[in-house]
Formats: sequence, C-alpha cells, structure tokens
Amino acid sequence: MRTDLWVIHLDMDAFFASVEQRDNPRLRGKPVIVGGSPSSRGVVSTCSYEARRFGVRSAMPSREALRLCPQAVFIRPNHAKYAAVGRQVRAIMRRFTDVIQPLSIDEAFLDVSGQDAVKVARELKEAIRSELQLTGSAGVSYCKFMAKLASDMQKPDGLTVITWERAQELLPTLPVRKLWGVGPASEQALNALGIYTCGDLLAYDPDTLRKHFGKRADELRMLAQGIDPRPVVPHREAKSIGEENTFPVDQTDREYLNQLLERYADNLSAELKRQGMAARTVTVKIKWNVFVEGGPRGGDFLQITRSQTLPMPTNDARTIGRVAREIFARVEWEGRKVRLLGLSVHNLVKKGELFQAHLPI
Amino acid sequence: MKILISQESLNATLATVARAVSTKNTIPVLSGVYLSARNGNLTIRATDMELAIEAVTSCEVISEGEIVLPARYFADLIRRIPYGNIELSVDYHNHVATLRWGRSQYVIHGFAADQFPALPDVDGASSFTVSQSLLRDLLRQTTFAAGHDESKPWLTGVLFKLRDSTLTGTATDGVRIAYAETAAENAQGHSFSVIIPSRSLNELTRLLTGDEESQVHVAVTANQVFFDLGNVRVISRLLEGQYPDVMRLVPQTYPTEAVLPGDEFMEALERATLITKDGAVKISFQADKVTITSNTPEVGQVYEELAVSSMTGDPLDIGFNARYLLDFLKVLEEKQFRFQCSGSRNPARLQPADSSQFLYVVLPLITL
Repeated sequence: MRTDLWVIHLDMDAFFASVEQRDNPRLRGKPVIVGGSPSSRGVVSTCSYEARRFGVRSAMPSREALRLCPQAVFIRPNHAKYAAVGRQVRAIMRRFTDVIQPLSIDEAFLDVSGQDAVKVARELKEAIRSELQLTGSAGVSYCKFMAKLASDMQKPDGLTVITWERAQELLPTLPVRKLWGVGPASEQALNALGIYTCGDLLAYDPDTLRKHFGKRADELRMLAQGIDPRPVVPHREAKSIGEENTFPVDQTDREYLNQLLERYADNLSAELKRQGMAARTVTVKIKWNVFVEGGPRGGDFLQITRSQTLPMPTNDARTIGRVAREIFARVEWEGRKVRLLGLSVHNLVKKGELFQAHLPI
Repeated sequence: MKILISQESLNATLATVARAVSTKNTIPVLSGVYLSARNGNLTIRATDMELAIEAVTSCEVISEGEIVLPARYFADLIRRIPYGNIELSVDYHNHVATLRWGRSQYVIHGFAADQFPALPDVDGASSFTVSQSLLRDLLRQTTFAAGHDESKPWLTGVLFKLRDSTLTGTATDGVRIAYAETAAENAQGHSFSVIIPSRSLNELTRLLTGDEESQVHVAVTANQVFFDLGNVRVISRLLEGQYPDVMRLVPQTYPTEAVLPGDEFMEALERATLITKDGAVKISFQADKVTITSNTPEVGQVYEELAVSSMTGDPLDIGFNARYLLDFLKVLEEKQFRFQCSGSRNPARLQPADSSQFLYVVLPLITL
C-alpha cells in the first residue's frame, strides 16, 4: 500500500461569502450571509467566518440566521460570478497537475504524484491568494479520505499534513461520522451498535457488522484503518448532478423545503454552467421519517423519487427551481415528515453536443 | 364436446388468436385458449385482459361444448400434425381433451371453460364502418410513432377520432407526430375520440386484409373498442388520459419546402446511417438540390446529393436522427414527398406530395 504523500484536497474557505467580501471592501470583517432573504423564508447558502462565530451554518433558514446574528449582511447569490471565479481557481490548479477531480465548484482533489506534495499545496494556496485574493484550506496525505479529513482540520487558510503514522494516531478516537460516506443515518445505525469512533468500529465483531451493513461493513473497516485505495479520477463524465441534505430534525415546513430546493437549484445550475452542460430531467428525492424493515442493511427510511423531463435541456436556476417546486407540490405527504430532501438533474447534454428536441408534452 | 376439424383450419384459427394469449403468469387460465363448439362452428378466443382476439371457423360439431386448453402445448402440437381431419373430444369430469388423427392419440389437460373471462359487453356502443384496407393504411401510417414511456400511458396508444365521415389517427412519442385520416361510413353520425393501445393496433393490423371490398365494423364503448372483421373479432381496452392537442404545438408556416423522391431519399439515408453515430445527419436545402451529410470522427464522412422536383424558400441546414425520417419513408406509399421546414430549431413536416391525408412532423437535432 502507498504511504507517500501524493494527494491534495483543496477546499476554498467560505467561498461565496469570501468572493463577495473580496469584491466589496465594506463587507470585510463583517458577518456576511449569502443566501435567500430572511423575510422571504430563504435559506443560507454560505456564510463568512465572522457569521459562523454566531452559530450561522449553511442550509439554515435565513430567518434563524438573522436571529442568531442580527447584524449580518444578507446578499443574494451571484452564481455566474462564483462559477467564473471557480474556473480561475481550477486554472491555477492545472499549472500543478492535470489529474484534478472536482467535487463541487469550490472543492477538488489533486494527484501530485512525483512532486513534493506539501510544497505544491503551499504554492497552490499562495497563487490563489496573490492572484485571486482568496484563501483555501489544503489537506495533504497518502489517500483521498485522509486528505479531505486534513483540509477540514484547520480552516480557514490551513495546510494540514496527515502521514500514515499520524493517521494511525488519529484514527482510534476519530468519530465514525468523519468516515467517507457515513451520513447522519449511518451514524445513527453505528451508534445504535455502540460504535462511536473508528476504534470502536475495529473492535466490533466483523461478522455482526456485516449482518448490519452488508459489504459496506468491510469498506468501513478499511477506512477506519486509514486504508483508502481510490485514485483521483479526473474529468468524470457525470450522468447526473445532485445535492441532498438529511435534516437534524424531521421537517414539515413546506416553505422552508421549497426554499431549500431553490438553493439546490442555484447550486446545480452553477455546476451545470461550470461544466458547460444542460439537463433535461429534474428529480426530487425525499426520505420520510418512516422506517421500513428488511433489505441487506436491516431496513432504511422510506424513500421516494419523482422526476420531470423537460422538452429542452436547461441549466437555468429559475427553471430548475420552478420544476423542482412543481414536482414537490405534487408529492402526497400522508402525515409523514421529511427526513431528507434532495434534488438532482439527469439527461445531461454538453455544450456543442447535438440533442434531440422534444415536444412540450 | 366433440368435433371433427381439418388441421389447416384449426392451425390457422389458433395462429390468429395466439398473439392475445397472456404472457404473464398471474392468472393461469389466461395462458390458455378458450374453445367453444356450437352450430357447426368452432370459436377460439384468447385474452390478456387488455386485448382479446376471437376467431370462428366451421367444423363438424358432433356434440356442443366448451373447454380451455393451454395455448402453447395445444398450438405447437396442432402445427406439427399432418394435414387431414382431427377429432377433438372433451371429458368434462377432469377438463381433459383427447385429440385423435390417423393412428395417433394425445391427451391434454385443460381448464374449466367457466373460469375463462367473458368478453366485454358491446351494449350501448357507438359504431361505424371502414374499409379494411383503408384502416390498415391508417394504422401503418400512425401506430409506429406511438411512445413506449409507461409514465405517460396515453402516449403509448393512437388517438382515434371520428367526426362526420372522417376517421383520424394521431400518434406521438414526443419526438415525432404521425397523423392520418380516412373515410368512414358513419350512418348514425357519431363523434368521439378514444386512445387505443398501440399493441392492440399492431395485432389488428396483422389481421386486416388489403382487400378493398372487405369492411370492418368498429364499436366503441366507454372503455373498450370492438373491431369486427367478419370471422375475427379484436377487442381492446382503451387507454385513459388526456391526449395532448399536439397539432397545436407545431408550426403553421414552413418557409422552406422541397419535393423529393421517397425511395432515393430512403436509400441514401439507409446508407448514411451505416457510418453515422446515433443516426445524426444534416440535411441541407439548397436552390437546386438537397444534400445529406454527416461526419463521425474516426468512422467516416457521408455526402449524398439528391435532385429536387421543386424547391422554394430559404436555404437551410437542419439536423435529424435519420431513424425518425426513415420511419416515415418506410410507410410512404407515394413516389414523391414534400419536406417542409420552419427553421433549424423547429419541427419539420413531411407528407406525400399529392395528399394531405398523411402528415408526419419530426423534431430536429439541435446543438446546445
């Protein structure tokens, strides 16, 4: 197994808010919230570190954010601008390596095999700072999972290195929530077995773990040992682009959920534009607060997806948002609450590519 | 029940109804064919509850009765019996049929006839009459364009409209629309629109004769349609849903128009698709010619040029999936067709040069 340092995870700091602060000096040093307006029941998209100090977080209702931080400056997102800056960041990365795997507009893995990874990370951050007046936090490690964990350890403007030896020190007490692919649902399932840390996970009987998690159990055990063989995959041709969130508390507020769909639509639109693509199909995914027993994992929350296909591909945030809300409005709740809400787009067409036109029926 | 019947007529009658036999295993009796011997006739019927086909043939009825026999064994066996008479007799105690011919004797286990669903009631139907060959043309020109997307079930059928003495058919899958009309005898002056599943219509098309003189009597109730061809009846469930007013969605004016030879155009397109990715071709309308081109990296290039009988309007380049154009050309009966465009991003219209009884609208390929 490879234990040399070869992968960098770069995560831009409070990206949308930082771009706004950079372009408007009066916002610097102030709590800035990019997102929907608090009076229209909007949702926080990104907030500056000044706002985070007050407890403001992404995906929080803007009204809640205003209550926590009454002096915050609210700004409507300008996704075209963020996409343009995102492209500039990507262009700087490309000076160091071609093997870049973007995870979103403000986050990417870089494979810098054969170079001094720590030096590259330092130079990359410096180039972004001097040319774009923005900061990012970098994680350098021997695998993707650890690199991503590292970039999150010092924010903003951090550079954290996790060697194989350091990983072995960190892992025993690392909460399982930090493992790749462990979301709130898996975390709950693990906690229910008395597994809170990677140490607990490795101490747990592998066969019993397999009964609960199927073949994912072995992947989790590998990650908990700090083993992650996945390579950096550049230019992944996405079949779909999506975003979803599991809520800390099951939701019933339709207007909040509608606002969240609008925010997803903004992000998906920005991502489609960044990749020079448009999509024909819009899909809303809902997980209800209803647990269904059975299946390899012993059960899961009841999930539905509802799609609508448009006559023409689009990457327009308003169109995607409108269609998402229309789909969502048709969903029958039957007294349930929403545990997870997601939005994705499929049937992607690239700019310059031919696509078959359809009648609007 | 006991009958004497020739292998030829039993085999032919079974082949007529066999396509309606259910392929799903949910209701065992539907995997069978229903046989009824009465008044010198054998009636055979099959249904999958969406489509039913019933055919009648004459035979010598020694004693009347009914039985349901498993369609596959029964039809496969009859097909392999030599020409000549077959005796079929039924033992009602255990629903067993015995077949005798020459020095052979076979026993087949069946089902009680009363388990088989009765045909829907034709009472209160609106009926009209149309020539078999004209109905066959209309179906050939429309059914192929119906959709396959089960999330929009109404588009998986053909919209039949009767008004005065005109019957029209419309089918669309969202990429193209096929529309055809024909004369019907509508003595009672009924008006209606119904959506008939394309699968039922494909089976019906297979059974219609090209004979100008033969008629088909059509009866429509709230949820069924009956086609009576004489010794064969085809009964289909109707599809529910609001069929979109698709003709309202296509351009009213087509500034570019060429008249082209159907066969030559079809042959050129067929050649072009051999070295074209996903059938994408560019059609260029020029002052005195129409060209078909396509360029597939690492495969090759296509250039086809066709003389036009007439060309009016502005030159135009427009992209199509050749498959959709070929679908029209394959059912075009006339030598020449009219190809009309309304810009490179809008639907185009194709129709026989000297007729407006058949129209085809197809949407282009567009560059994002």
